[in-house]
Amino acid sequence: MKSIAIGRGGAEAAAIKLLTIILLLVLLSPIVMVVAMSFTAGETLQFPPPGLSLRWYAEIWSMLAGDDAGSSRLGESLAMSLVIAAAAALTCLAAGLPASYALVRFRFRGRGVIDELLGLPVVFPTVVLGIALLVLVSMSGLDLGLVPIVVAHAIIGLPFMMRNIIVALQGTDPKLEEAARTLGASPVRAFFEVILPLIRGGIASGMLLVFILSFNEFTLSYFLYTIDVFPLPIWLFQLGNTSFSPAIFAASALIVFLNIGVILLVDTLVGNRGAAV
Amino acid sequence: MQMPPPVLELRNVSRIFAPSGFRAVDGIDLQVAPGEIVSILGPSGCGKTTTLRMIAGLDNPTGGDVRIANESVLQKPPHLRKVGLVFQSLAIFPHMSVRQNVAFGLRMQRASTAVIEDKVDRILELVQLPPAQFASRQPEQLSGGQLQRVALARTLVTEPALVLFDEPMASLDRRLRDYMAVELRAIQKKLGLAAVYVTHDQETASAMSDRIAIMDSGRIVQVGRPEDVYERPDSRFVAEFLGDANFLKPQAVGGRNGKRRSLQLSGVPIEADDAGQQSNGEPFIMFRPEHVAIRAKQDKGAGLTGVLTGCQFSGGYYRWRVQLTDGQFVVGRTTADPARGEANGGKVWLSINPEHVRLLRQ
Amino acid sequence: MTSIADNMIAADLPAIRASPKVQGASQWKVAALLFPASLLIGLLLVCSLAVLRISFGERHAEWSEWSLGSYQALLDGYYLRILADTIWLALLSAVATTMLSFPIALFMTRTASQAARRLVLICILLPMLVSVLVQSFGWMAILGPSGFLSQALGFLTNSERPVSLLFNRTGILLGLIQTAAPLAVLPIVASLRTIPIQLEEAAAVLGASRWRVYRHIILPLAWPGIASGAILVFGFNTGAFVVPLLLGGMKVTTIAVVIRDQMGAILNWPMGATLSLMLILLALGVQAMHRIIAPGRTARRVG
Repeated sequence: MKSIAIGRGGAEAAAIKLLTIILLLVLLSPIVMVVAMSFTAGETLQFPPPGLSLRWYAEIWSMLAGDDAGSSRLGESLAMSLVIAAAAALTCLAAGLPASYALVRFRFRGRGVIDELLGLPVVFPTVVLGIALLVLVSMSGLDLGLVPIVVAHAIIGLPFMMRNIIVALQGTDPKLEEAARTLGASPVRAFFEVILPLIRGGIASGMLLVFILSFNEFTLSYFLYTIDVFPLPIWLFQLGNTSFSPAIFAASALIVFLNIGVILLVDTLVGNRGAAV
Repeated sequence: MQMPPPVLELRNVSRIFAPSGFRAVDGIDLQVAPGEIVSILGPSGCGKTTTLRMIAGLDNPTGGDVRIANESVLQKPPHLRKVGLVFQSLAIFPHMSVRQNVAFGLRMQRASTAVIEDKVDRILELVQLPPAQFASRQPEQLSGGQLQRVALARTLVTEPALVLFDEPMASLDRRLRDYMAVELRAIQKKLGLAAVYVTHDQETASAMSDRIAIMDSGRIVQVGRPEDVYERPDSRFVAEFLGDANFLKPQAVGGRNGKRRSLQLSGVPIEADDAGQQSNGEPFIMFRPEHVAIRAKQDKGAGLTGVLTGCQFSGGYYRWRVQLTDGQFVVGRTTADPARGEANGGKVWLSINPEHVRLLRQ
Repeated sequence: MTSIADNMIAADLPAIRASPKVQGASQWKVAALLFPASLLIGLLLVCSLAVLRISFGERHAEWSEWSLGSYQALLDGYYLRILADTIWLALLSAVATTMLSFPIALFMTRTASQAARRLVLICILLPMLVSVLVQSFGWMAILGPSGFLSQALGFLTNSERPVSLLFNRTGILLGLIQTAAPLAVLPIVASLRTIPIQLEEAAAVLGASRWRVYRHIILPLAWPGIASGAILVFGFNTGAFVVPLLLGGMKVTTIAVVIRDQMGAILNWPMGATLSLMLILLALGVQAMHRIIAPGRTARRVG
């Protein structure tokens, strides 16, 4: 818009801009602080840091690959978190893709109710979900392990996966599928040849979102972890309980970098699609 | 000699939408002979697209039978019907190149790579998209007319028994549409295709088809050659839908002589063909504007008199309006200026070609 | 404009456009497509039922005996106070978050620069997407006795005494506001976007001051978004666990933390389940309220 709206220019716009910048700084302050303190040369969380160094990153590195690798279990936890996140993303895909397709393409009785139910995991308190799953598993006499934690993460990831796929599906013309049908493709073939390639972006961003949500998920893991299934957030939490040193911040900063990387990736995926609309 | 069986036969086909009970298609019968294009022409919402979708198998009739090559196809899903469909939105696969789009159907038939290559090249030549230039392009690099050709090629390459067109040219501008219609007709003739062409545009329908089926509110109200339907509509709806028409009330309707009826219009005896409608409604006569001659002087055969009340040049011909002595208006179309030298309001004499007058009932 | 935010936040799935296919697909096909997802959702429902059952159970015989003991205990006061406290914290955070989100939303709606909008959007999403645990560590560094805030306040007030906001309500509140901010900003942006600038111009031409334009035009029209944002933040924070766990220490607790204690250390499952049920009911109430107030959702559903 070229014209400057009445009253929106000048002082008011400047004030809003200034306020926004200040508020964003506050919102980002914990993240910034984590990154800042990870470079401290000191032994404590003294602010401002007495000096800058990479010593805490070196310590994390030694826990990951050096002398302390065996005792710290950092590498194991990281690998476990990656496995859980990948498994949760795949589970969400397997459950979310057909359901999204059904919701977008078909009208059927009870669709409204199912739509509501699929939104339930977003509002459901995670503490309760974690505890209830723990109770159910222990009641059934089974052992905790990888499966319950993956399922728990998949439950809360499902709505995010479905949002992405549904938005992508709504952007595809149902006529494309019909065209494939009249050209001799079976329904399944038409889906895989025509629809799937067109919603790849939505699927990828959905999976990345679920991956990052699962990778960061603390509450569910807090109730469902075991000695063998020991995800990274639990490892970090325990480290914080035993010694609250800047090493935690170095590990946390690395997680922040990973998080931001994935968010930018999703933003690019979704942003490109948006630009095409 | 025996007539070959029709490629397509619709027998009393209906489609009633639950739960409203809306009769989108209400018991229609239609046959398409080999090598014939039949247009289904009607206003939007008349059920023509639903009919097409039922032929393709994308929708199921609630009654009647759809037969292709003398065999009921109701139990067959779309991909087994061997029916090609060119969509209104064209539905070009956006993630595939021109070649991949056209090859899609052949791939589904599990044709060999060499066969696919060869057939795609040939069909692209046929629709005037030289493969060397166009085959590797992506859909977003093509114009509307070129996309049209891709959609056509993609459908034709599978050699379907019957091709369906769902207003594929609606989005093109007039000139391109006329051009494509001529070209499509030529390709259809060359390949001897049987086709159903759905449209709401009567000019395209007339240009494209061997026969036109006019549809209204789920029913086919008249079928025939384009000229016949235009000249001899069976109802006011058909007459109006196919072009400009005069509808006048005669003073008296006299006796019948075969199909001919003699009647009185504005005090002058004229003759008309009785459309034979099974209706007790009020009779009226219908004729096209191009079938009225206008004279500034009395002439033999020109019995109707009136006053010229308006005339305008509309590119290639004059459109004028005359009020008859009984107060009714006649609209006409001539290449010569009827007002030549005389001002509006002048007295004129009209003669209506009796061959082209129809007697209809409300 | 599609953005990551559209696919990320908001408590519900996007409204589903009515499919052009009027014909009812075969019920079996639809059922088969929905089956895997319904397993996951079904498990959630089973969890709720298990919680319900245990809340009526006898301690240490949760599945076999029936008792109303934990409901009586709930009414005894201690738990009610924590419940009220949790709700109060969530309410405060909702109000504060919404107020703080408004200027950001205004900026995002009005800026002409796509790049600025996108940058702000990503900044807004970070607190939501970056690990809450990690951010809580960040707050501990900010709020701790030798942390940034303490130093800054000491410098400003020229006092040597360290100020610690850690392990008290202010600290928790800060954490709750910060991690939930995106939930408020995005609905407000959505409703601000629907206000045509001509309305502001018309009001101005009619002699309204800027203050009156805000008071009488912008706020009332943006109200659905503001309310929706506030409700989302409230709902999100009633179940808050990580923030109070880390920033509350042993001093300030919320329902979620107490549930953890009851189920874990204290081993009073029925009590934990009863409190869990309260959280579930709160969440459902919030969802229902959001349905009523959420802007556009019902309209989109019809359209």
